[in-house]
Amino acid sequence: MAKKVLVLLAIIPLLLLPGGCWDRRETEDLLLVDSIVFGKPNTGDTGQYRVSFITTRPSSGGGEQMGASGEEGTAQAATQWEVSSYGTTLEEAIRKFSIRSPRYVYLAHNRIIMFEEGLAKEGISQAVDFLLRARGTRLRNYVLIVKGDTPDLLTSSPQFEDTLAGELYSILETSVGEGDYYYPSDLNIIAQGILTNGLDPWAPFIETFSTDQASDSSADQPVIIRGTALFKADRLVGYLDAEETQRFLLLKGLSNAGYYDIEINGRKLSYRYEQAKVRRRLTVEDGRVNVSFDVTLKGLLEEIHFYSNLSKTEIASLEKSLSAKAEAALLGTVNRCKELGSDALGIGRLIHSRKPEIWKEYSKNWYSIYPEIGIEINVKAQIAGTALGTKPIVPKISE
Amino acid sequence: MQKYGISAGQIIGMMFWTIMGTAVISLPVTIGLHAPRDAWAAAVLFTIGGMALGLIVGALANRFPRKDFVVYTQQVLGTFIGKLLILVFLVWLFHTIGLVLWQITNFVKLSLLPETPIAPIMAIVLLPSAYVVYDGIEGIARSSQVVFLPTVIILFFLYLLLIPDVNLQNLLPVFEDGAANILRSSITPLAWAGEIMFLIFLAPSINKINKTAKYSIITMALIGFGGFIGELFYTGVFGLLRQHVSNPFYSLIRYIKPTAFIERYDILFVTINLLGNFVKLSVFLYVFVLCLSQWLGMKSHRPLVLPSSVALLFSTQYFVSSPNELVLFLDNVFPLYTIPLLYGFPSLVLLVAVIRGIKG
Repeated sequence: MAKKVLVLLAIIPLLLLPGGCWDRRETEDLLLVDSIVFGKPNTGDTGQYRVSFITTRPSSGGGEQMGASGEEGTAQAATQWEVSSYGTTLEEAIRKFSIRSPRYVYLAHNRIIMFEEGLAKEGISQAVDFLLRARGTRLRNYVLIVKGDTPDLLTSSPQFEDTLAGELYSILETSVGEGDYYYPSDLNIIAQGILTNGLDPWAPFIETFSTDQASDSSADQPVIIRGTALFKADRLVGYLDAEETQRFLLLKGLSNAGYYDIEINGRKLSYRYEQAKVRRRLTVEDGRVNVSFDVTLKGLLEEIHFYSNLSKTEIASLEKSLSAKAEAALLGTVNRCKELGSDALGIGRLIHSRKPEIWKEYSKNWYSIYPEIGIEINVKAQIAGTALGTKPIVPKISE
Repeated sequence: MQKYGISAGQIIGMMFWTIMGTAVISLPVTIGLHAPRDAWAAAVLFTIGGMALGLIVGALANRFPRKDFVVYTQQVLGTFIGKLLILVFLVWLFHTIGLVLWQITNFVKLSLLPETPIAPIMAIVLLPSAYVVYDGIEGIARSSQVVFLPTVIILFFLYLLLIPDVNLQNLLPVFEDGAANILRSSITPLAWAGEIMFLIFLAPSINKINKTAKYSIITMALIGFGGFIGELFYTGVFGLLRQHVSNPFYSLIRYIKPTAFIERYDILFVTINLLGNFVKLSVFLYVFVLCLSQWLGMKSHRPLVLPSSVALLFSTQYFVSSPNELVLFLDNVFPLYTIPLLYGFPSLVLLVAVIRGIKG
């Protein structure tokens, strides 16, 4: 009997552990942050940081409410709430907000981290370091760069989701595998890019755009992902537009799908590749490293603006033209990265991993050697078919 | 002293978590300090060291079947030297249990209960282990058996979910960290592998005592494989960033992509960690009180469980003051005395027993 009583007494303190003990915090006491934006105020005080939070207004989180008649349900959408706080350090800015917040600022459910352009140009390593130390931050948090003014972004309205963070998160999630014009980058990729020699960080960038040219109201300005921001070490050095991003992602092996539109003798054609293989090769000539990307694309003709029965010869000729177009476009993207001085493609890491003895020399002065590295692109575009149609629809009158 | 016979599955489950329990928390950090890209290589040396020690332990178990290590050490080395060496081992063990308890507690504090003072967490973590140790080896063996399979399956499942995030490029170029750094990174794991020596104390309770060496080799192979895979994943997913996170395994689990079905996997890691470390702490505490009771010539270990637990509770809070201090200690100091003790002590006993022709 005494033993049973002792066992029961021993179980009581164990029950404190799941209860949370000193740490008991109910969900309704938490301010679940959806997104954090790090920036610098436009006041000219360069020593100040601005940290903005995008959250769901706690009182609106209840979901559906019934109308007075009880017959009709009126959905109460969760409303977005934005707040900014300032400090000489990031911690101070967050602390200032925590002091006046009636709820605990809870970062463990945060999904998106944004860096404002001004701060990103100065360098994001301190902010990344701060985030890695912060309790609750996850390395899976997506990172975005905000081109333009943060205040515009904060007051812009989401179009499909309840909050801006929710909308951006959904856009980034659905982009994976689509191979379109953006690909999510997260805190892990950014931090690795800052730390690793021969590999620079990159992240999609967003800006607001106006659907109504006459309207000045930022509430009418939804946010759009425009392309990719490139960094040199931890500093933002420039942007790739949507088309360049598609090529950048293809060369990085992150995208398997994309489009090429070509025009032959004024006749337009649209090709969508759905399979892509990228093989990276290194060759050494006279002690100099050259990098070759062998790209194989396989896809369908989606749109043809001319009549053709698409014979084998014609297909071969189109493939040749498409390959040339893709080669020029991919090389253009590589050159754009070089111009900006950003090795986000990881050319340095490629040399490091395959030719470590050469990298020993290169690593000492990589950023000045990088623009001189010979990069060759070989594309083999294959037309696998003509989508679900066979011959183009041509009006009889033209025949 | 103990009548219960431990089965093969139970002993492997016990020793797996005895070594792995805190290894998953601390070793990725110490290994990453010296050889972040070639960290997997540390697992190879760890396994070889542990297997070699396992063979020595097996040889001792075969030579002295059903005899307690504390007893035959005095028979082989003489009462004075035997008792002195056992005392040194007891001091080491008490301090190491403190470190183990601190690591578990610190993990709970950082990940779950940041506002809670460390003492109540320690007490709560220690309580189930003290209870099961009081009950004897049967309770530890049975709970290890229950814990082993589900935890290993969950670990396997978690690794599967991380496969899409592994970038094998991060492991290249192979052996770039250099032989010296790889060897340096293997020293702390080698000290951890020395804990397979605890089998010596459990051997008299094993059903098939002549298979002790085989069990230790199977255990080390399992842990070595787990460590190898773990290190591949830390570097594959985080690259050089693994050197900057305080708990790479926890960060890895938190990195798993949320799905519509399960959003957060953190709790699985916390569960595995607490269950595995419950086994670890129980085995450590059991070996300590068993060894101490035999050293003192007592008939049962039970009267020592409560005082030892209370002593641990009070002293552990002064053993370590910060996680960084612990990492530096585990990296620079701990192996210096642990490797000679855990590898040297049983080797010495076996060597002298062979030379003197003593058998149990």
